[in-house]
Amino acid sequence: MAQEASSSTSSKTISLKTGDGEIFEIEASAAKQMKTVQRLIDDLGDDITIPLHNVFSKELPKIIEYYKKDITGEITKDFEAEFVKDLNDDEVKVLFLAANYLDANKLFEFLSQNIADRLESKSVEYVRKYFGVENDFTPEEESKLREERAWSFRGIKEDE
Amino acid sequence: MSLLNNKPNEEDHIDRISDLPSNVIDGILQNLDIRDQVRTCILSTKWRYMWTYVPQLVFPASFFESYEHLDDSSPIVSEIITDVLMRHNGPIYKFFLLIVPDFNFKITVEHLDMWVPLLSRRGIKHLELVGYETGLSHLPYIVFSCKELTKFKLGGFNLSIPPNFSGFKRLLNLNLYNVTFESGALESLISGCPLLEKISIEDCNGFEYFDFSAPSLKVLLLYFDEDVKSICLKKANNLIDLRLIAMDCWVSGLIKSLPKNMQRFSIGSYVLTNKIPYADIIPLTLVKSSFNSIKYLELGAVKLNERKEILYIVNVLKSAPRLVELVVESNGHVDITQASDRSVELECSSCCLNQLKTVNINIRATSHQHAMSLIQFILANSTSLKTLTFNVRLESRELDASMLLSISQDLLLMKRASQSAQVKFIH
Repeated sequence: MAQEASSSTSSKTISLKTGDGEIFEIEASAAKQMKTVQRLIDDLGDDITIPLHNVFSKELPKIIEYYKKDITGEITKDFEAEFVKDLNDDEVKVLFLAANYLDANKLFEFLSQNIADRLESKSVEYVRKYFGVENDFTPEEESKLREERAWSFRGIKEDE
Repeated sequence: MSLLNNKPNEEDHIDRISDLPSNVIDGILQNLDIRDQVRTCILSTKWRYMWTYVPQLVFPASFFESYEHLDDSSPIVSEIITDVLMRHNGPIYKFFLLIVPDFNFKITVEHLDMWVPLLSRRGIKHLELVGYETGLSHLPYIVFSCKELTKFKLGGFNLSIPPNFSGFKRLLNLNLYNVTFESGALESLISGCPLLEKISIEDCNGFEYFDFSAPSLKVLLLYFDEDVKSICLKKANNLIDLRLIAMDCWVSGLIKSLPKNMQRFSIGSYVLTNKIPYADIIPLTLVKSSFNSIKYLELGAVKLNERKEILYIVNVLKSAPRLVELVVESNGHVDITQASDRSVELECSSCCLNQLKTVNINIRATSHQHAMSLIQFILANSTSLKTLTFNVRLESRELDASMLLSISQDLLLMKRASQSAQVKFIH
């Protein structure tokens, strides 16, 4: 893919290659917000296509969309609400883990809050699955804990 | 180039949230509702104590609401809060008790004497104790020992300051709602917090003047009642955002001084009638010396049916060369006989409103004539104007279709200094 030929650094674009081989362009100023990407640029130079083995073509465009908006200074609560509106819980999780890998702080913090909101009053089983946790309590231990913390087990919603 | 082969990132990649480092997991945990947060203890043995290291404990309104059905929720609610605090490990930076109005749980002195020392030892930075009780508890002095506080919100208490109060030296943000101050308490509190940047005082009483030295103050939101006789802000050199709202009638000569570098100024009132003219509240001499840097101006409860008030607003506009956005609201009921007064002729000076981009004028129907003069003045002098919205609220049948049409026509005919100005007429 041809890179934009530009002599001014402010409109320089960086090429990113996903784990499944697709290439996306982002502005250098957006790349700066993703510390992992910036580190790779520092190591490899900004003329090379930066490989991101663990980010895929499904999620990278969404991340690029967020930082495109960020560099224009326009991220509002409305924008953030729209951004996640049509994503299901698993899609948000994938974005969250990608943001963690890319060390993209602003997006990461926003998604932390969004995940917390989505997990509100969800059942224990749902949260276990979501976090990737294996239950290793014995049935006795578990029921004792439930009894001790009965107040925190009130108001849980049924899984869909 | 050898770095390409020795890629640390490959091994670092984590595809389960549970495998993330705990400070990262904290990011999610701390945004969870307290019940969800504590419930994570049951996920697995690894997770059993994770919640106890999250430095944030927020008991929101929904937590208290869930016990509303009980006759006396006090014992169970305080038991839970105490249990959570006792089991917690590590620092606690945020602790909120946000009690709903009309709830039968009151934060008592006994509760705070039990909880606050622990919070203080754990380095509490952001504390919110918000109750709505009408029979206010006295805030125990133990709260003043939280030396690390940066943000403090307090609601529903009687406040007096201990004699040995050494101040909240790191406090940046103070939010007081429904607080009754003992004599001198507000002054002692503010002067003990030299770094305060933002103060919000709403529905409080027990102070008659606001004249406090707050050198770092940037934002002030002050709701005041008729007991407040004077507001002096000349010492607040860094104040850039000021909002004043009168809950009762205001007093003549109320504002004695204003900061020089204000950028946002908003003043309004809940009271619909009997408002004294602005010229008696903020004298024009004061306007001339303090409105130089104002970019956003909102004037509420304006008596737009009075010639003097319109002239006052024009003078204000002339003293605010950097103004970008203007909102003028007139919500009072207006004496209908006044409406037939000849509308004010306003002199068009040369291009004094160069930066003004957005204007919102909201009135009740009966005072539209003078408002039209004001609009004419603004349109003729604002070279950068983008949008002017004229919102007329109809009451009963004062304005019929022909009047609305004539207003629309008049608006269209007015001379505009800005070619791209859009005028919106909403009714």
